Amino acid sequence: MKERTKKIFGLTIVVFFGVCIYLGFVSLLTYISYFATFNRILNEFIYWIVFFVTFILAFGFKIQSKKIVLSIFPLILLGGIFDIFYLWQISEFILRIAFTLWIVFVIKLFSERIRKKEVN
Amino acid sequence: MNKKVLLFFLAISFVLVCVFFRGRSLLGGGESGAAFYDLSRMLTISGSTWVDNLLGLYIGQVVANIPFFTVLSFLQIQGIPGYILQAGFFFVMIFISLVSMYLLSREIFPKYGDGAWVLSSLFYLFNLYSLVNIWGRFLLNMMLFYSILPLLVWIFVLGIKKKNYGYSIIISALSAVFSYAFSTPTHVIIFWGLILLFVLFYLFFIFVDRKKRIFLIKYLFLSLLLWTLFNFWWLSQEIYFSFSGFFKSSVNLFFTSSGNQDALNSLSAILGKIANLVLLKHGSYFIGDNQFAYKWTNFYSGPISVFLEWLFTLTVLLMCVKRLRKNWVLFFIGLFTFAIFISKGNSPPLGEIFNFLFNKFSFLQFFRNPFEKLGILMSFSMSLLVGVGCIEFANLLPKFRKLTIIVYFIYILVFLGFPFWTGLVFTNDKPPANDPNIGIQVQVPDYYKPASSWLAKNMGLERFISFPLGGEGIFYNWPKGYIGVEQAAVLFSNPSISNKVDFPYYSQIASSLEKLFITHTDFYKVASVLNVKYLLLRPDFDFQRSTMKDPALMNVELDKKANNPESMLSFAQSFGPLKFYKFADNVITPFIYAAKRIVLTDNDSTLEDLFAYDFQKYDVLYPDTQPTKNLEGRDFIGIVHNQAVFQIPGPEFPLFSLTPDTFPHVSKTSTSFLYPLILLREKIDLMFLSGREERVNQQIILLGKRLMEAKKAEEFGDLKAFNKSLTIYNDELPKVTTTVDELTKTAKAKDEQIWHEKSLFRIFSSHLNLINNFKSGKFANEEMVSRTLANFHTRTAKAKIIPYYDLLTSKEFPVSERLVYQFDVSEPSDYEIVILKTDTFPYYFNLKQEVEFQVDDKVEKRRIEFSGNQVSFGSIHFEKGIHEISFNKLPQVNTIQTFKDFNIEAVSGSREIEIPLTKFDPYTQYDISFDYWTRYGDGFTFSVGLDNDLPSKNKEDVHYYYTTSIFPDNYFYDFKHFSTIFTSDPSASSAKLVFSAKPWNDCIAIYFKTPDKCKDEVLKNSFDRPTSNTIKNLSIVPRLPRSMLLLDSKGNGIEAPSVDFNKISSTKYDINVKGSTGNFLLAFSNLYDAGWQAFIKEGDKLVKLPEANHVLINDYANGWWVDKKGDFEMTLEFFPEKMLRVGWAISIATILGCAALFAILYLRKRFR
Repeated sequence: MKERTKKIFGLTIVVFFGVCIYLGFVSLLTYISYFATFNRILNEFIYWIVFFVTFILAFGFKIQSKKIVLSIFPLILLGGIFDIFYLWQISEFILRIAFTLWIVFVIKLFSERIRKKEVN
Repeated sequence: MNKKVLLFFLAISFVLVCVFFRGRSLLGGGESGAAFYDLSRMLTISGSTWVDNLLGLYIGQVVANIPFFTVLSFLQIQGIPGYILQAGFFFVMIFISLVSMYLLSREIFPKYGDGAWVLSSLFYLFNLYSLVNIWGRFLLNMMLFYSILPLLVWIFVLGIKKKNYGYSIIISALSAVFSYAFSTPTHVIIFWGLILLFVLFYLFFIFVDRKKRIFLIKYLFLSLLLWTLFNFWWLSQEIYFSFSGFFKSSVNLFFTSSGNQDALNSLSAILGKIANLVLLKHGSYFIGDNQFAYKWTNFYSGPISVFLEWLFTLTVLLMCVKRLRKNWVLFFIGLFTFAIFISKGNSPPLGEIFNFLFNKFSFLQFFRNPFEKLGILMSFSMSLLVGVGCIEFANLLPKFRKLTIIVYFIYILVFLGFPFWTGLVFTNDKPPANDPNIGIQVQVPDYYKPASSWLAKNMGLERFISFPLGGEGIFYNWPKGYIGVEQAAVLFSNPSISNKVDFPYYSQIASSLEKLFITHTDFYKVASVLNVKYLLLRPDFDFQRSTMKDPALMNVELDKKANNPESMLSFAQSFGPLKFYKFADNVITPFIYAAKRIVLTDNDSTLEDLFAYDFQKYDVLYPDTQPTKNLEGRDFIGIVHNQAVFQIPGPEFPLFSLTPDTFPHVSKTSTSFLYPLILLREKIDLMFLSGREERVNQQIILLGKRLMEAKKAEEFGDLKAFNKSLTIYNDELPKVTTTVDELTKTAKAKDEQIWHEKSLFRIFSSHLNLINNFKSGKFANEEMVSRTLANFHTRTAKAKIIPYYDLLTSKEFPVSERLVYQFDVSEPSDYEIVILKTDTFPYYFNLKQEVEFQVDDKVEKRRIEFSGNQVSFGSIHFEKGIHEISFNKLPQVNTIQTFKDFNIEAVSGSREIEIPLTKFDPYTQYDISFDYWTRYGDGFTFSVGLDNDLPSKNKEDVHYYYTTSIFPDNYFYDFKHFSTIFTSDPSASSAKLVFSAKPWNDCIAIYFKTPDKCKDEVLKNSFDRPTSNTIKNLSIVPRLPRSMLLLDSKGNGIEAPSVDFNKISSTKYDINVKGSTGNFLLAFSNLYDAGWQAFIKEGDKLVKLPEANHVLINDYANGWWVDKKGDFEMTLEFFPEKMLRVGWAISIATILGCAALFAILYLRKRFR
């Protein structure tokens, strides 16, 4: 197996288990607390999970920032299309995910630039 | 700079100004009011730290407006009309914003050419954020700040590039000239925050050389230092004001951290959506049904418009991302991201970070509307990216490069710019401002000028009150209308009480004046204490839209009082529709005087206390919250107000209701091994409830749960579990009552005593019932039961939820519906129990000559005495502490005499029955009740309409103050009972009951797949079937007044010295005291502020009176205890004014120093 394929495979497993653990945690909280709805918890936590997973991917696995950007623009576009058709809830959800990725991307870009400058 | 571009910008500025001012009128309204109407007056208001208007006022940062209004008022005095000056001001702002963004863009992206720079400038002026939040918002200082922000940043960047410290002087000088732009702290934070980000970027991403870095740090600190010194005169005021008692009181009274948090939550939810922020769009402005002309704002939310907005934004961002290797593109992408992140407030994603900082750093509480305040950074950064993005995109299509750039120009100039070119930007959704030909133009009627001059001639230091009195906003019926803040401060040069704006001490007084005037013939007592000489009737506004009293009725009231010699009021002069009434000279106390009698009141004191006893000129209301040491050994009158009132339903109190929100189901007692897990789960439940109201509701349920656990433990005979549950109950109860206190300050309904008064009463009376049952249960003798009961009584009585004392009964005094008045007495004495007469009390009550009532834990029987304007229930001795007086419901008279039983039927079309209320008192609560039976059909609607309800456009769209729909019951086919407690809007004058019914109609049910068919009236009406309702026993009875007084009127006057004074300025008064026999109270009728200081002249020295001698009197004014005998001189001075003088000296010295430095450098350079 090529190194790259291994990495992708490894990442997929990490993301899969990450999502499972997350959903398990959310379900547990929903079960033990009949006042907190699933959506509410999902709303609060999903962006943090996306943020940390992307952050680990971006910095831990040295994925180039351009690749993160490429994943963001289709999302923004999709969010924009839903917005045009007044599907505001889904549009906002997608754009929030995109913005979370965007934040990681911007942090990564700044860190790359500082490193470059130090190297120079 | 390219001359063509300069001409282009000049042309844009000129054309826009011509469009905005085509009506040759001022633009005004909103929070800016009509500032350009009288610029000299605006200068007077801003020129000093103390403003005479209202009851006097200190707002530190207004002095930042001095340069702005000095220049403009000078020009107005030269004869230039206000609207020309305003047009000139707008021209300058538009031109500066265009030119400075062009220069900044050129400085940062020098290789992109004119096209990119001009696109950036145009986008900065015309974008969806600036449209709504800068120009549409119409805050003059915000517009100016937005315009000069790129200019100041450009100069700062220029200084860095040229490595020249001189630029820091230019920035500071320009900031001082445009200090008006910094008159709010948020602008200072945004400006210096932005500068800091630039410096950090230079430091970490651009400068490698150590020398350059050192220069940069020096340059930043020099700029900050010079900026502070140049602007020291107003900056020192802003800082002092932030730490002043007045600011703290304002914040405590009208804002709380939790209130700010609630505001942040709701504004973030509405305005913090990423989809809107990326497009720089306001979350609610462009959507929904509104009354804007042509519904033009909805144009920007149409699918094609949204498509264009996304297309534009995405191409710009994509192209910029492509050019990320350029440092400055990266910086502005980063800035744009940061700006979106902070502008969305605490809404997801990652909003918790903002929330955390917002709660930790109090200065961030200014940003409780983050989109409005911080959105400037989005517009600023996006504008600079637009130039780069558009040109990069055009470069991708070399064949269509020019065409692409033209398309971008058209998008910005035409698509985004059309509300500007058409003047729609200065319209709003309320008539007449939604008429594009009028918009927010203001034409002040001519009669105001002579009225103001006449007042200036006839008034000294006194004030006048404008009636009717409303809130901060008003809808004037002027030739071109006006919607904005009330303008008496600008229209008249004399101080007046003309609105109920929220300031400590002032707002409480202003909101009581109209009621006191209408209900008391001897209103002159209030005028005397407030130093009011004239009353003004101003009928030139829309009273229904302003939710104020009908001026026609106020006119009748004023004329009635002017014809009554007891009112001491007479008609004085009229100007157009304005009418002035004057109080007799002998009733008004001077502005500064020595008190003759002290009236000791409590925290709930109001000016209505003046009517409770035999008021005399020179009396002073003295709250017991102030030091009372000086009152020892002195006679004084005492007034104690009830701090709470409780409505006890009857003998069933305390009633037990086993509902899930009171006592949830309990399966385990507190000794169960699972109990820690149950408590953990409860904690997790609470964690996920973000709103305070939700959380406290849940905590109250948990309190009930603890009692149920104790009950279960009692049944099982488990003493340990019983004690444990009650211990937790006792620990948690104070937390709940404290939160209820906080919520009462911010979230209670206007007719409530505390937050959720009724439901708390119901729940806690159930708790009381259960705790009382423990007294006769298995563990009756346990100390925990008596401790819980005592804790319950103390906490709930203090929180005004439940009365402290148990209700007593006797043969002659059974418990029926009871009203309990609770008092906190601070001075033991014999007090007379008094209720002041109102329009309804005691006239609508069949009072017996003797009445029984409960005083604490005794039943008293007293003879009722009627005297003057009060009903007395005799005297009783009260010791210091909490006391309660409770009455059984007094027999009341139904105000509806004739029309009590009737039918309301609707066969075709709706049918209404209106019953006017005779002798309606808007200050009284009413019990409304009736029995009804819907015999067939659709039920009916019951409403209470007030004379100041919003007028309806058609019959279907009637706005009543109170409305409820009553539907037929599918089970119970007989008479049912309806009852409600009605609290009126106090500014109403008359009311009517309205019963309306419609025919039963099942058109939509039949055509449920095509309901639009039922829009056809003919078809719909063919499905009409009659509705019939019978109403009987209609009753409207007034309730007992909610306030009661304990009155100790034995106090005598003292010999007071004679006091003469001379006003040097608004901030300084010289006083001559003659014949002092020692320790007297000096009253100064300006709003209480700790900044006022009193000095006694001793030889050449001024000796300051100790802070402890400075007290609040008359519910608003300053008083000083002066302990000196004989004749002497005093001075009253406002401390911030001294600071202002020092501030001016520092600023002017810095400016002169810098000018001299420039001159020396210039001359040296020249002669070299």
